[in-house]
Amino acid sequence: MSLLAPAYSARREALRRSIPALSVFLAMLVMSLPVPLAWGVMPNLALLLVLIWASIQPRLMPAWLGFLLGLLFDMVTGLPIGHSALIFAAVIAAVRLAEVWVEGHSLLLDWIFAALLILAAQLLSAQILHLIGLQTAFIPMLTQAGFTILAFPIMVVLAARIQRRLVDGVA
Amino acid sequence: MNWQSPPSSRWRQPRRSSFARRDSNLALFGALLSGVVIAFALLLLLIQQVNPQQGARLRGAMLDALHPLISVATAPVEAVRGIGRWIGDHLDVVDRNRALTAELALARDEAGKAAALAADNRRLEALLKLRRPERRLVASGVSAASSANAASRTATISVGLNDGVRPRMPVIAAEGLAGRVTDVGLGSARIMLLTDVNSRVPVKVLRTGWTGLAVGNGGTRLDFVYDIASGSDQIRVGDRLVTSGDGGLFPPGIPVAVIVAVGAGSPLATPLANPSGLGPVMVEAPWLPPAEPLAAADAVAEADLPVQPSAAVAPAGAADPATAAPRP
Repeated sequence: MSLLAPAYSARREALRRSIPALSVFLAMLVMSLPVPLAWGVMPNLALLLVLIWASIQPRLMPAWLGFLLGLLFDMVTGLPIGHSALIFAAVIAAVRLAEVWVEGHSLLLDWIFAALLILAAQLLSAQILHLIGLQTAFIPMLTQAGFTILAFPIMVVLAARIQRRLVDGVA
Repeated sequence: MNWQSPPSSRWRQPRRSSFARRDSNLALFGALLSGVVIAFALLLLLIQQVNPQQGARLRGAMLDALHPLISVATAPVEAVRGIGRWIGDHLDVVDRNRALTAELALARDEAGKAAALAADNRRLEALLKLRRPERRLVASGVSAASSANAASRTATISVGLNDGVRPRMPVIAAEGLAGRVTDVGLGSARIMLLTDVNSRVPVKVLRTGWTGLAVGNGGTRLDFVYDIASGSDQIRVGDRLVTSGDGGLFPPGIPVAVIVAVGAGSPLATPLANPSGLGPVMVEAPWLPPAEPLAAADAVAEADLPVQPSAAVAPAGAADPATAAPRP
């Protein structure tokens, strides 16, 4: 087997393509751990990973995959089915549009854009829950958005590592 | 050889390579698919609004699949928490011992009075032939994980449909009320914690007897919402809230929370059962049994009223079930 042209294996390829989805699923599991934090909220790691993968590996995180992952997330967290599906798909679509506008960008620019997107997603979440007839609390939602924004650089580094080790297959 | 495409003219647009066309087609298709997917998600949500029970079974099945995974993942967190509690217990054991001894002396006095009152109460209730509904234990299990999501405060427990657990049932932990069951799988269930924004528990203040609602604030506390009662008494920090039994779901007298802050708004309370580490829990049947409607006695056959010929001819009258019922 040559290093320049590694043998193509369908199984390996399928695994490689499913790595982003698997990482989002793991993030969902981590989010359901009872970790004592302020206001008892954890950053929305699943949403963050979806956002990051949509930006760095657009082909491996299409909108329909975001939709399916969102459905799974709704079932894991017990939110109304379709809530996170809508948010994830919308976030991926928004990232697509933004990537068309701006080409090369720094981490800071990415961070600012992600922050705006996360706030918008949280607002959308509250609106959807109101539509269903559920109540939402303003301060915990805002706190969670804040934590999510703070966790963005860490998750970027994590996603980049996963990409280098597993998705690119350079290991 | 000229590998470039022929120069474009005003009339003829430059011919794009098939790869470029394929890419733009793919992009267009992707955008279309995103739109379709988002529209479908909206449709799902609208279905949920019409029928909130939609998808409950699906969520239950997912819960069954996830519960083992989550309980394995929770184990280390619980272990660390347990070690922390153990160390804390050892550090303040002397102080607590002194406080408890003092408290015990007071409590002994009170307990004597309370026993006399309870006996009195029993005698009076017997005189009145008062019938109290009994609490019925359905199942007991262990809580595994709680979701740290701002939009929903839930935990999973290790009993489900197979153990007789149904949605709406109250869940009680060792320290106090934990919440109520929302989704049920075969061997696991999800409960809505007291701190969920959508949780409302009818409670009363143990000291004054005032009733109100303990409303979750979406974080780690409860708001105690009550009508300002007459009199000069006030809610104080340290007042205990217990379930009042109003509404018939939660049995009365279960400890719920203790008031920790009294300010301009509604008093804040902390739930006695720690929402992020419930431990063993019991699921009870709703306190008041559902009303059993008695079948009404069969109606006595009435003699037919004389039918007016004009009414019998009218076609609209024939379709009306009230007039078209018994015809010999």
